Amino acid sequence: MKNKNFGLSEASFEKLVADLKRNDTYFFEQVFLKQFGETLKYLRREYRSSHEDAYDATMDTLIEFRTRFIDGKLQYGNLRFLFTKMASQMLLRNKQKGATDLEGIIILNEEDTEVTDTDEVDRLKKAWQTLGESCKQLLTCHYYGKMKLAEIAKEQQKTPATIRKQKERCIKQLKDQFGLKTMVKL
Amino acid sequence: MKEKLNRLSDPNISKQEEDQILEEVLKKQFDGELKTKWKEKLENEFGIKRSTNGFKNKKYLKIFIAAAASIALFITLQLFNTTSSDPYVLAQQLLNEQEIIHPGATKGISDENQNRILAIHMFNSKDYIKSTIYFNNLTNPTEEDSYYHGLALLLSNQYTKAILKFEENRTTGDKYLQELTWYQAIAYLLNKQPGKSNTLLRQITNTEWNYKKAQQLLKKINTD
Repeated sequence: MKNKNFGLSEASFEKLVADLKRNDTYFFEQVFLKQFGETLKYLRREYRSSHEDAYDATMDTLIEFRTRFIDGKLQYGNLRFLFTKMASQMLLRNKQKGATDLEGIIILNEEDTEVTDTDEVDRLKKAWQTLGESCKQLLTCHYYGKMKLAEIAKEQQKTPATIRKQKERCIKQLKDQFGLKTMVKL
Repeated sequence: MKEKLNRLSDPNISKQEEDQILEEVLKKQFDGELKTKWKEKLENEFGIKRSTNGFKNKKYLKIFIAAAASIALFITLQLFNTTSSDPYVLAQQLLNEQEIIHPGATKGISDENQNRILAIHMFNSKDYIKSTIYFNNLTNPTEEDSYYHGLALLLSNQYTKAILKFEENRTTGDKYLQELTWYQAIAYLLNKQPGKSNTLLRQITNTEWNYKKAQQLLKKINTD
């Protein structure tokens, strides 16, 4: 069973998910980056894809796997099989996306949006940097790690109400900073 | 994205929408950071780069050109020193240079699935002889089973049996047709049947898998 799950036992699988929810990717990297080369070769051989396409598809699969782990959509069972299949689907999806882009206007629209977005995202990044460590940790665990406020409260040995208020304060600070920078820019 | 971010400054935004936007924005941001971090790790710890070519530093480009020239000279000298076994050596090299991995199977509790799981496990562990035994135990092999069974025979040097299995595979479906042509040609060559290998290699057209390698082998066979 371990072989089908990249050498993970059921207990280590649980640990991996718990770590990811706290945005600790060390264990995930130990397990999955080792598979990168193998998956890359598989895609190149089975689908005759280029090195770059196989690389992008495998990288996208890693990101998608992380998301599915924290969403509770992946169960301990046959992760190796799922990873390979998902990488194959990712490769085909990326190829289809590329084909659509070449067909016309879509690529131009995306480029336009990217340029404008960079400014906004940059301002949000700066606003994020003004937050204290506890705020960053709370928002990261909640939004990126999909941890419920009650779970965070339990872990930090605080009441759910305290955590909820802390979250509201953190968001207000982030929004104030983002809004301030927007006004300064204008 | 710009509109969504600006929605955050709207005092009338609902909590639900606020959560949705923050989740989306932070995911995009953190996913991007993870990609950058993993890209560096893959390059530094595993030697895997996204781009396999392109040199930013001219110093390294010069070193690369010098090394490539030395290798080219070495290969040229080797070509002048050919032996009659060349096509067979090249066939073996081409077979060895690609790591063949079975994508895996769904879990199951029946004997059939147990045999399949063990066959795949042995295949991916490179114990090809044991893999052929478990593949043989399958009462209703799928097209994929038969294809990997043939590969396990080829990789365990049972060339005659591999050829027969590949031939049988051709009659059951066309999912692996290009692969079958290539590996059967390799099997023929390793079985010292260059004529039959030649016939199959000629069937590989320039849009098909391993066309260039097939041309390379044909050249070797015909100059041998």
